[in-house]
Amino acid sequence: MNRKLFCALSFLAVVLMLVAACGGPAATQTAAPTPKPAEPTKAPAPAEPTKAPAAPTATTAPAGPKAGGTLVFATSIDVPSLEPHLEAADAWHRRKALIYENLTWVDNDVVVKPALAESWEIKDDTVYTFKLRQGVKFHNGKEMDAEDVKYSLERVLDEKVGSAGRGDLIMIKSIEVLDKYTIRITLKEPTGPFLAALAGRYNAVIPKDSAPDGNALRRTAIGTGPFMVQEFVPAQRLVLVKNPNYWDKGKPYLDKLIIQVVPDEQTALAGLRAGTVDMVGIEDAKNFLMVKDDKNLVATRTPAIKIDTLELPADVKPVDNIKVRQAILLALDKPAIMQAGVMGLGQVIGGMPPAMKYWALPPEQLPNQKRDVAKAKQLLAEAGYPNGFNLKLRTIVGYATMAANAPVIAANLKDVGINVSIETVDLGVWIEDWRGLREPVTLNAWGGFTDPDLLYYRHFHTPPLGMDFRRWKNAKADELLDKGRSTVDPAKRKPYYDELQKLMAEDPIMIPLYSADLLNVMQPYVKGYVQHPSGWYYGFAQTYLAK
Amino acid sequence: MTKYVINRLLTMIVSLFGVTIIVFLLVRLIPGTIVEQMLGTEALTSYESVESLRRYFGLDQPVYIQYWEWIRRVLVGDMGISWRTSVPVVQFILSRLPVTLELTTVAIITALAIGVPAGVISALKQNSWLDGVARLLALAGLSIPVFWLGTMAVLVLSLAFRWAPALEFVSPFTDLGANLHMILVPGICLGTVSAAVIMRMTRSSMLDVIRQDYVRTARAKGLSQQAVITGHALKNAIIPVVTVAGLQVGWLLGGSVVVEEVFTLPGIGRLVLWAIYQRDYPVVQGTVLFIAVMFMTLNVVVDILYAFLNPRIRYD
Repeated sequence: MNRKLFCALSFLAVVLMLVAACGGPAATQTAAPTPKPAEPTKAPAPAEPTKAPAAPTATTAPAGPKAGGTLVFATSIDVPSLEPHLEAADAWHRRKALIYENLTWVDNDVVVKPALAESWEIKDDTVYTFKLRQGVKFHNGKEMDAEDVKYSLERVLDEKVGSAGRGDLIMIKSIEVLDKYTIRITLKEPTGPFLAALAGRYNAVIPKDSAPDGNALRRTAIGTGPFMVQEFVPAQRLVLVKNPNYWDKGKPYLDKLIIQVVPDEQTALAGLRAGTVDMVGIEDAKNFLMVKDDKNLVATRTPAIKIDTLELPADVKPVDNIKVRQAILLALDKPAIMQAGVMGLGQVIGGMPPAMKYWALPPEQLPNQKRDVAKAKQLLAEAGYPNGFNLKLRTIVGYATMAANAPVIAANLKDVGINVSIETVDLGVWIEDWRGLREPVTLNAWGGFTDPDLLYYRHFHTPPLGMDFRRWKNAKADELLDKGRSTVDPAKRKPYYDELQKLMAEDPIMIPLYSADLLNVMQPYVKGYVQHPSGWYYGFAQTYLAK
Repeated sequence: MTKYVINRLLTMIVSLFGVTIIVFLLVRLIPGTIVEQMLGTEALTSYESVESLRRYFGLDQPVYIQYWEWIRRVLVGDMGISWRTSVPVVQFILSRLPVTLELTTVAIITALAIGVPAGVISALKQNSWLDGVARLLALAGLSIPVFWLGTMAVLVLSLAFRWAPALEFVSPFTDLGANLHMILVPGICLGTVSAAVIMRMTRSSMLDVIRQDYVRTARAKGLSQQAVITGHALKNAIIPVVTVAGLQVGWLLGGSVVVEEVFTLPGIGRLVLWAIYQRDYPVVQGTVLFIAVMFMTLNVVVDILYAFLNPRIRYD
């Protein structure tokens, strides 16, 4: 009797589980071969926060900013060290924006603005004389002056120090301290992106002689920014407190900002619901979709300057033929790829992402952006592959968006006869091949640069001045990049980069797929946070708690 | 007995050396090193700075030299520093160890508190509906992955009770209430799977024992069921369960990684995982060695306990 009962109960349990799994709304996210995008994404959509209206920097909220309070911000990405010139992790650069400052910064509209330098004069396109802000104090009380700036920039440029920021400042010929608050930087030749390069991720101003080696500033920080480091526990949390001597009086409003590492985003969202977490930076689009309609929370999307791409190196058969590259671009259904990759929470792009504002050309102005299977097949036939060919596509372990993009790309290319097999490698292997200039056709995720030269020069210019990671060896691209770099007036630089974007669409050595939006979810009393398109946390300096 | 213990300890030391060699080699087999992790894809790095970093970490030396450099320091108690964060490895481990120990303790207590009584009842009431339900639950416990259970617990508790895993670990000595609030749920999740294993072991062991002649004799003597069970049967039935429980603790130390990730507990499981992703070799090697020492010591203790509980093997 009991044996039968046991079997019956087991069977019932299994049946219940099957029903639960198969029934219900399909909240699944497996990329179907030809998924329909949720909304047609033709033009890049502007930032659409679902609750609060998108308020740019100056908030005129009815009840003005209130000082005080502690904000707990949860993110799944941790930070190994706090070194301002040596730590390369992007997660650190996001936080660094609150602790350290540079001579300049690039604002939310990707325009260079003064930071520690109050103003500057440019003579002969190569001599920059900066007047520094006076009365700025480091977190240790010392006043910032020109000697500190000289020390910091020279440290970055020092080959022995090994900062990755050296490439940003390589155009500097000399740095002279004229007086306590004036510093003159002379460049080797006119360089358009110089002011943006000064705002770069590695070029923070630190006190003179504060970093005799690479360890001094790894676990503490001495910057000039709105927040100071109170406590840093690697892989766990960073506790920041208000800098009472911050030069922008009144800011920051928060007394304390705790950046907590919560590896599981579900746990972070649980914290939001329970009230132990005030704001979450979401990396996985699926989790955003779970909370964006929650009436108790505020969810925001912000266009970013990062891009997901498909790389077609020019010396890998058969993509060494330009017609094959064009065919591949024409075969792609970018909205579908974006739907699979980030649930549609992004912008389909053809060149630069729309968050690059002034510099970006929308996809409508670029050739080869509309999917055209017939034309793709024709191009393949002309190239000598009427029956298609086999292609290995590389992705990186742990990059969920790549894992989602790849099958859709494979399905798209199958329509034109290309059989894609996906090869997944470890990040270390991928980096070795990439830097060794021998990577195959691969997916990639990069960007985050605030000037078109910083974005493109190193990637596409031939050696020795660039790296030409994809072995393009394109003389026209070299010419445009050189002209864009050596021109200082942005209005005169723009035509070169417009032409470069068109060239890159004509000869798709790198196919930009989409730019994923930056996603945040917060309690309704968190006000004033505006997400910077680089992903960095500048916005916390203006954030206050309305409770 | 003393000879037995000394023998076990010597075996343990030899095994530990084996563990260090295996971990040392395995972690170096993973493609990529800390240099790539540190420099990232975007850095403009000349070949020279990559090479100088490799030299700094000793990665250009032959493997056996690297091993010797590391092991000779470990033998005098110096486990080195984390390559990624410059925190001394011993300090790193000790800061995370209490969490995992507490988590594992709660888990094994849960497992025993649920598993042993369930197993006993199941055995005594064999083939009744009670037994059937208990066995079904045991099957469920064995089949359900811990990470699913943990994620579901977080989801359900947060939606229903607005409960969330705590962000910062509070020591039980500082605030017992807060500590229990954050360690009970993950501990129980982790313990549930173990409970199933222990329940089944208890049940089968108990079934074996109550069929023995001496139990029948005890009953015939007129002892109450309670006295028979606790006085005679359980004492013998519990022996294999002790061994299994000891092995379970080893499993729990490893399975704690998942629970620590889901519930944001700063334990050594998460530390090892993080260190592997970062290719932070000293931390990986140090932590695994630490866990191995704990696990092997535990095994020796269990073996001694076993000998103590079972006089029959005491004098081998």
